Amino acid sequence: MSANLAKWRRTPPLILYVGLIAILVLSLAPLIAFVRVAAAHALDAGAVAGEQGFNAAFANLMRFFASIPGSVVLKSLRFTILQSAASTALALAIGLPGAWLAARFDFRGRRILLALAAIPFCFPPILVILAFILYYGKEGMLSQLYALVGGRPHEYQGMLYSFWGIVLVHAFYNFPIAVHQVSAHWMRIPSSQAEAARTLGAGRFRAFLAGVLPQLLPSVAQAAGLIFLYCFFSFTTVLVFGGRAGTTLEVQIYQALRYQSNLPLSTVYSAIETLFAFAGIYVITRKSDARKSQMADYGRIQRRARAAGAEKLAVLAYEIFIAIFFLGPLAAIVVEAFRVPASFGGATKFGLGNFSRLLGGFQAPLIPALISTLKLSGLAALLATFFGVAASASIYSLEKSGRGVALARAIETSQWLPLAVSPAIMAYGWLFLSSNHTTSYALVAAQAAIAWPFVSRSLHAALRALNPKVREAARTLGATPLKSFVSVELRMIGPSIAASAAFAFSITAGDANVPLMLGMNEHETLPLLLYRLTSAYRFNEACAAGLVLGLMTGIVFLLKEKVIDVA
Amino acid sequence: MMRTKYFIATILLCGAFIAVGGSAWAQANQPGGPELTVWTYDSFISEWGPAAQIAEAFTKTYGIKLRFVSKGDGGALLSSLMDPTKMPNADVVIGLDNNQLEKALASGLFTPLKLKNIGQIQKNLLIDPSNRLIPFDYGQFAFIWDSQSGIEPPASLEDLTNPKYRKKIIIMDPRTSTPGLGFLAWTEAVYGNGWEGYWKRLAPSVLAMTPSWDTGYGLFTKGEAPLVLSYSTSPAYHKAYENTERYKSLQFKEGHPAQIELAGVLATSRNRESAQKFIDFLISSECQAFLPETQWMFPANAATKLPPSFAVAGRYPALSGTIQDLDRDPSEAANLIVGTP
Repeated sequence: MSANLAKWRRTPPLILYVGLIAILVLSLAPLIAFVRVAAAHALDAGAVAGEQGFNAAFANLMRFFASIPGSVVLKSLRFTILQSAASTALALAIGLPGAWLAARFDFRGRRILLALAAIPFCFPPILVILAFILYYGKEGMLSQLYALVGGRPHEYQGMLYSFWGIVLVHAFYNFPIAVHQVSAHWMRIPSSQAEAARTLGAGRFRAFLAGVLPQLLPSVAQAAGLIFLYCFFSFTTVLVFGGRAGTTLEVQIYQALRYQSNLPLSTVYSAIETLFAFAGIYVITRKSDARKSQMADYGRIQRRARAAGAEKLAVLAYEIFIAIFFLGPLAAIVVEAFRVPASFGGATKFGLGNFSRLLGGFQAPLIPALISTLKLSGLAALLATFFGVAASASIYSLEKSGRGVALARAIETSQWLPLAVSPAIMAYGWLFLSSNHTTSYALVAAQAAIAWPFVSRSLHAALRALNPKVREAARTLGATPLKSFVSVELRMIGPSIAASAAFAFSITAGDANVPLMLGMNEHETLPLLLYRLTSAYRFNEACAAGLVLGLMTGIVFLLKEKVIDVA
Repeated sequence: MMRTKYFIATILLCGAFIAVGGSAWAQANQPGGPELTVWTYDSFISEWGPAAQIAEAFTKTYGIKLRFVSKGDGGALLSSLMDPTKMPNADVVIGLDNNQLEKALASGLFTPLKLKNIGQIQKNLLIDPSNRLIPFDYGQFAFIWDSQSGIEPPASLEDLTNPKYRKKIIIMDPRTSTPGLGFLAWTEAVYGNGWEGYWKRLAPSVLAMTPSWDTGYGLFTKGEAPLVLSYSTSPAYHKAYENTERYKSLQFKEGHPAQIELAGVLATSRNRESAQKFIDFLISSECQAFLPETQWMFPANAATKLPPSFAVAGRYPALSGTIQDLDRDPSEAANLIVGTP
């Protein structure tokens, strides 16, 4: 062993600590800034002349707590939990059959089915919402289909603007996660136990219950936990469809921030959210550990049989189901983008009319929106990549050296923050930190904060997968630790860095939450334009803009599955 | 392996190139000359809205460019102005209304204006004697009914609570939109302190409570419900664009409150002179002529001639109503609708 390596083992460079502490501070700073301003608001609220000092502040605080609309808070909490639970259940119901097919059989379209897992990450919710309105709405394609098979279009009752509408969108949006995660696990479960059960006389179903299901549960629970969390924090879908059915906590935060300017109240909502999210994350990480140790036991992937007979029929039925109910809406966007609706007695045409209106009409919004998306989200993605590389490299080095493990764990934990804290709070926190409260800075910072953990986690996995011998070889040849890291490890994970940078861009470019929460209509990004066109019912132009956005964020589809896997 | 690498590198390079080139291009395209930033609501700058015509005519005459920024609906517009965390960076605000007047004036954000054309405005519309918020159009709230829906038209607010209208009505959110606020004022005028009881009774009839008028009326024309909260002038739109009288405004026996839409100049504007010119232009008979068939409201300027399509616009007995507590009532009302069966 070279002297260099021994030295590295003893004392990881100071810069590592500095970098990691900087990351920790940067992820917590906006939260602290937000809570500070919110507390100041709560203490100052309704300050009357003559009342001063601690007593007045205390009285104000009490007044604030008394003013919290308890019944509204409870009602939205109940709705949030109910819709998340229903959405998760439906997503699993749609996803598990697919997971089984993909794990056990080879068939045409299997890889596409697994690749659908990229959709929740690379197609922004606003695009999927648009697709569902076009497809499931009262004048949508499904209603026309219904009319074709004999039903009167009047009888088709749209259900989008209701509780079940929200659940439907959530379930279809997230079911690919279940397919992907559960099948990855299922593929490795050996059939020996189930076969043993069968030789003992158990039926197929009993054998499955005894031999496969217990081992499958951790991955199902993990997927369910993740989907539940995504639905728990769902914002745009509920904003569009939930006007009547109910509001999630996230929408309440939005109302409190944008329409009541009530920062303390939004803090209360978000604290409740975070408590629940932590519980969810606890489940996910626990199950993830269980799953990993199981997977390590099984090791290799089981052989898949070619689907035949009844199985082939099952595969076909499943594929048709997914194509009609999930891919259909997405295809509708493409069709509608080129359909120019009839106006002034003219007939419906197909062409580029929608695009040209966005490019040349009043205030020609498409190009400026494209540019601000590239500029703001591009910058956010770059920042996220930078922090992701720095964080994963530091954690990796600390792990190797065996020192500062507590710090490494702290960073790993802080990677969960974006899943546990409302993006609205992050965005406003950065707003308060920026001088003059500049929204574009806040947007870039908040989006980077949301995206960097994805980068960091996938790079960490890539680093761990490297063969340690290469690194040691470089050291024995006399490279300093830093030099060997840059010239060997960093170079080897180069493609992973590029892939996760693109992934970060997909997340930030498709994000409508942060700009909506910040109310930043001055720099209209593509998702904001899409939201504006959708809510003004200019669907065809919305589809044209959506197609542009989809092509941009869809870049993730070209990436290796691995990135999605880790995410 | 190598090919993937090159491929991804190329994509990233292209991305970087587009970003850099794009931002340079955007910088180069920064408009020269004076420019006014106008905050307004969605439908004002939508494809059918008046913003494009107004901008063209104003820029032609005065050489001053206009940049319109939509803030959602009128409720969102006032919230953005009052946001304690951010100073509004607009010069002109278009689209507040009579229900928001008191709160908007109390904010001290608006500056008094001296306008040449103010004498042409109908006297009863001048509700701000300090001339800080200037009326530019007005209308009456009314429900619009799809006569081909097979549903009987209601004749009063109370009728709307009838079980036969279950999930048949679209209203707007009083927290975020001015028509929603107007509806709240309507119910407060008719039911006094009993308005909350009315909203409770109304809840089952409401299919959707949309954040903006645009969304609600879009849902209605897409056939999702046969009744929508709008204006007595809305049928004129369908007459002009679709030559149909299928959509009718309904007269209610309780009377109809008016909406007076207001515009003003922010005291913080660095272009107050130009902004004042713009407001003067907005109420001039030249500009007012654009409004009937884009805003689908009555013009505030008494000298403006109405187009033929307005023959189908309703004028109903007036009802004056105000909202008792603008900070509390809209949230209360919305919470009575959201999440109830």
